[in-house]
Amino acid sequence: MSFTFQKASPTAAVVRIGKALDFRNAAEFKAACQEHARQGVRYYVLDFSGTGILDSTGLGVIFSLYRQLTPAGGQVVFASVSRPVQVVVQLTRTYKVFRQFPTVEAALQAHAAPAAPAQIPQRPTGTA
Amino acid sequence: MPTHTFTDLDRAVDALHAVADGWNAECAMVEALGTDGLHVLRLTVHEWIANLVQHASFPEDAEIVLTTAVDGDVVRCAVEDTSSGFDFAAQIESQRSILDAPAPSERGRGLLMLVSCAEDLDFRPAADGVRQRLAFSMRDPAGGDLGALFRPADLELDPDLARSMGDGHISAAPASAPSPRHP
Repeated sequence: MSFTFQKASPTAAVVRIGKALDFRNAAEFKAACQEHARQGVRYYVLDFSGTGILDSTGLGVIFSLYRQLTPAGGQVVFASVSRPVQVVVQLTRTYKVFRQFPTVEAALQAHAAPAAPAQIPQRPTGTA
Repeated sequence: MPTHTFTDLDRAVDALHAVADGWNAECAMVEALGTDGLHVLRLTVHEWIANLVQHASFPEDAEIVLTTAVDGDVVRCAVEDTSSGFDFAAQIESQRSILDAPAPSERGRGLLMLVSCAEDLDFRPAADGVRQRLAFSMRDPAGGDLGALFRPADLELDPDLARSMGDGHISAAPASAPSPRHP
């Protein structure tokens, strides 16, 4: 049930949460995130594929990381959210805080690419 | 009435999840709560056992007994243990008080989560007068509204998220999400 870190870039890391993020490994998770933050990581993609439990302590350390990073422009986002975690996200309304992406790749692409300008729908020209 | 006993506190949470994995194969449980409801039930019991493992005092050999029973569209759950007990109401108030703290702790919301998810919650000495007994009910839609577990300021909509809706994000409130239960 241990999580793993993978640097995607000097400022981005993917954390595969594994089976659980809860009171048993939350402190270890927090310490690892803080170490990566000291190394310059500002964008954390939390990969929840296959995660069966995210308890109040696990969610608490994620919020702690969020509060630490956001004043400096950092972000914490969720990817591949399993159904058990989605239930927790909905119940705690944390979808209001953490972006969710269907895949880790989509989350990393969002970080790498600047936001596209809004597209103004073009009126079709000519007639049928 | 399925009953499961956990005597090794180091393995109690893993043992609980092994039991909870079996709920998905119990037709009566699935019919009563639905799959999302079973996730909430698992989380609720997890939070209680986590509380026992981390904070309870067991004067003698630790024993935690989990019992579940389906009663129509309700699942009734009871957890008895051999700990020396604690002031449940006071601990709830203590957890509530941290929610508005300037720098809220990342811990200490487990009981609030349990209280929000469960119905008919009752905590008192068991019939033998020695053990402690937590009992509650759960139904589908099984979730309470746990939004109050975090400060309102933390739950304000991220402006970037609001602008970027529609670029592949999972929608904020999928139709299949459990409905909040009003207290």
